[in-house]
Amino acid sequence: MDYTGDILEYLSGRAEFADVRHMYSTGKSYSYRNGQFDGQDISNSSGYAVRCVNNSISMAFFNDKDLSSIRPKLSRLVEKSMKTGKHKIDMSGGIKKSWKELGRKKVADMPDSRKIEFIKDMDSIMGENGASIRFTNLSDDTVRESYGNTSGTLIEGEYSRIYFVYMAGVRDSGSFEESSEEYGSTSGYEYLDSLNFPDLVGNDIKKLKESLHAGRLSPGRYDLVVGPSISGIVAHESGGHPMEYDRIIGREAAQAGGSFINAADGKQRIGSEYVNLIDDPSIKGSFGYYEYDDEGIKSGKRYLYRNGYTDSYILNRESAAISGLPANGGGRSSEWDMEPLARMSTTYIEPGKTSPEELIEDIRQGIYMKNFTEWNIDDTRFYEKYVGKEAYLIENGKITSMVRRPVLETNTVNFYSSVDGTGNDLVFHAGICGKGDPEQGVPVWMGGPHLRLRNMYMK
Amino acid sequence: MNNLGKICDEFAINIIDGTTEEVRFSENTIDLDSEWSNPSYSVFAARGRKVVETSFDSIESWEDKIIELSKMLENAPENPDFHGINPVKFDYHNIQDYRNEDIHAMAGEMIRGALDGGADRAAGLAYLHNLRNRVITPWNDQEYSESSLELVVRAFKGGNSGQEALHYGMDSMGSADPYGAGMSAARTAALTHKKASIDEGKYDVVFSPYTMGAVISYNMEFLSYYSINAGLSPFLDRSGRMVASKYVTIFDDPLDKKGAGFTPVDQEGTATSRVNLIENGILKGYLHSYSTGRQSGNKSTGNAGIMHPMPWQIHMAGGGGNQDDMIAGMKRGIFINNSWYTRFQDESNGIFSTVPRDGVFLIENGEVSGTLQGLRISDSILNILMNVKELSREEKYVKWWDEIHSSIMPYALVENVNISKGF
Repeated sequence: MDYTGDILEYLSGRAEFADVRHMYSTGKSYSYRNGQFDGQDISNSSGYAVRCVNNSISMAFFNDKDLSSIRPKLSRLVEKSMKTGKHKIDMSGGIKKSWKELGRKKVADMPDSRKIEFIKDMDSIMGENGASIRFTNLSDDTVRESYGNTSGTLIEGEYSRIYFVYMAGVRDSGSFEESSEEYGSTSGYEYLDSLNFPDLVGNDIKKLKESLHAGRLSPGRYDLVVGPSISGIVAHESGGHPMEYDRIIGREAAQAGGSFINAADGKQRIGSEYVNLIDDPSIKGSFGYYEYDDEGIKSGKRYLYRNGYTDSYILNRESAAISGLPANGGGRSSEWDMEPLARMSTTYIEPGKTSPEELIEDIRQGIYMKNFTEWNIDDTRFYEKYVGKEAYLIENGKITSMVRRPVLETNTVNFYSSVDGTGNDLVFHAGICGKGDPEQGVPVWMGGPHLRLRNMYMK
Repeated sequence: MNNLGKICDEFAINIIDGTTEEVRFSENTIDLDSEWSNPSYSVFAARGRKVVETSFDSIESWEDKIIELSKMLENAPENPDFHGINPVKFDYHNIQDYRNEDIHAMAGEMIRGALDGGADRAAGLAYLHNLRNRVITPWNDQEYSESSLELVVRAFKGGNSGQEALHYGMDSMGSADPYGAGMSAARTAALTHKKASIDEGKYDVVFSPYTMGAVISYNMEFLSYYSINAGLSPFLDRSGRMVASKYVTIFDDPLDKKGAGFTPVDQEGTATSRVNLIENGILKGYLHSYSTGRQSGNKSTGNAGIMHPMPWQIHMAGGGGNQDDMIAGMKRGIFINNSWYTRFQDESNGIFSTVPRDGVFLIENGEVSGTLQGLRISDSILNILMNVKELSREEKYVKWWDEIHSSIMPYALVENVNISKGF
């Protein structure tokens, strides 16, 4: 029994604006560790997230199964919203749509045994290639969601997501290196057929083992080519996060932090003309794909940085109203019992026309950093660090010897301003992005092409 | 749920019910007033060495769930690391009345304290948890109440910030001082506006309880026997050896009701108690459930997660020092009030970096000489613990977001901490 209509009817005369999200999700997860099965779990959760706007904004989260126990909670919700607080919100409505993305190989049709076999195979491949420490996990989630508001919007969505993550460690002669990689998609299990996982995982471990014996870098200034894995994490951390408008207005200041961007300054130069940075929830199959966000707003492609300048913000209903702009489909919550925040989905640097080989060929002395291990960034999204996992010297236009754990520690404007070439390739990686309190992790893709940066200090 | 025993040999059911309220604020006004009132259930079921875990929030479809669990148990491979659920009978029943605190008013007090302390603006939150926990196994059926309060306030003055993030349990909620927390955060933010700069290198650093809490929170996972058994911990094969300086004593303290981490019963019904992890620098042992204890020839420490033991409320014992004296005694060093975004490049050796925030000051000749930006602690947990030279008598109950778990931490003077910065 879905009480969305009853809840909206109760609130329609008592709130300036109200919305109701009902979500039912079911998930399964399977793990392997160091050659043995490490467990499986199943989860089911469902409930209502009800938001009421009057003199302030209040939310109630419950999963009661009868209206008589819901009504007192709504009464209390309305009472709370009469207190003083921020109360601007985009009240747009009138959209009635439904959408679905369950893929071809439906989650419900995939037997547990096949999923367990997949992680067992991945564990074996890592072991055969020399990883003595191995964790793998494969999970799927299927979500049925409805959103309605007092402005007449009613959206129904249904989707499934597949997520594969592994961690591996290699040792030799007292040295240790580790790798973690994540893959995910909003689809069915055909996703596991779309990539050559045995090669991806096997090659990663082989290179990890090689890096145990690589030399360290002499600190200094180098031309740097980074792979799509690094352009993706940079796009996410120092392109997407600072353009989330709730951060810009301080809403996340005590947790995930603010932004070095000041909206009052208008369009700001962040990088070179080669830097075009996009967030696009509407890419089919992407891990963060959705047609309508968790606030009933249509999703679409947004340029966050265009030709090196700030462009569009990521907006949920609340931050949109404060900005004076319409909500643009950035409102996401990770579960039914979380508030919708301004969130990224698939964030990437737009590819250019140069091949990765051409990016490298005119470099006399440089570094090719293909991917990374440790990374972090300050809470305004300005000072950042990436430690290379698979990395090489570039000498006279050629990739030569491997270097171990080179470190790029820089700032956002320096990174983007140093870009003078963008590759014509584009690769996405999956991740779970954390924000909010209670913290909520939403699935995202991060991507980009190879990028060439001039004269970077590497250590 | 009585029929669970028919499809498995052993089980543990954990039920949490009650309410959580939260008030969030930023830019000196309230953003959102939220309330959660939904139960949650989690079930661990084992047939021989086949194990399944499940979580859900309604028992309406319980019969369907039993069928699904049974099917999964039938098809699951064995987990050789499972060695049973604790069969010892414990007696624990402590249900107390819920606490009523006006967290809306507390949020207002934090803002008022921050503004009175000189801040331009404040952001933060207050949480009030009133939860009932029940743990049912074939041998135990135990209940307890858990009321706790969390206050977080970050104050800004110009480009600087300060932060307090405190937690309170049933025995300390009455002493919460939201106005004082706001004032204290603001004083850190307003300490100085003079900018300073340093080179990369090794520095003596005074870690506040928040910085130490963040570093310790990220590293206590390595003391779980799960990590040890997996072979991924800097504490592997170091039991009985020095892993920290003689000043360092760290224990899990789940029965301290002054903190939000109060947990009298673990997830398999074992009554918890203080667990010594590091005593005067020597590693005393690891965190165990009954299963990991049996696997390794040890006893349960009351830290189930059945397959994945975990700490409840880490306490780093204070010493005899005073944080003001630590700073006054520094010729050239750094004070770091908080830290976030801790990430590892090498978990086997505990090598990580973390980003200081909310009060990072250069100390010269015992005085604060300026604020520092863009720094990182880029070091290893073992280096940091071995280089602790002094601990304060004062301890704080610190908890913040996902960065600092409920813990009790002193100020610490740590020598030769590797500090890196960007170029």
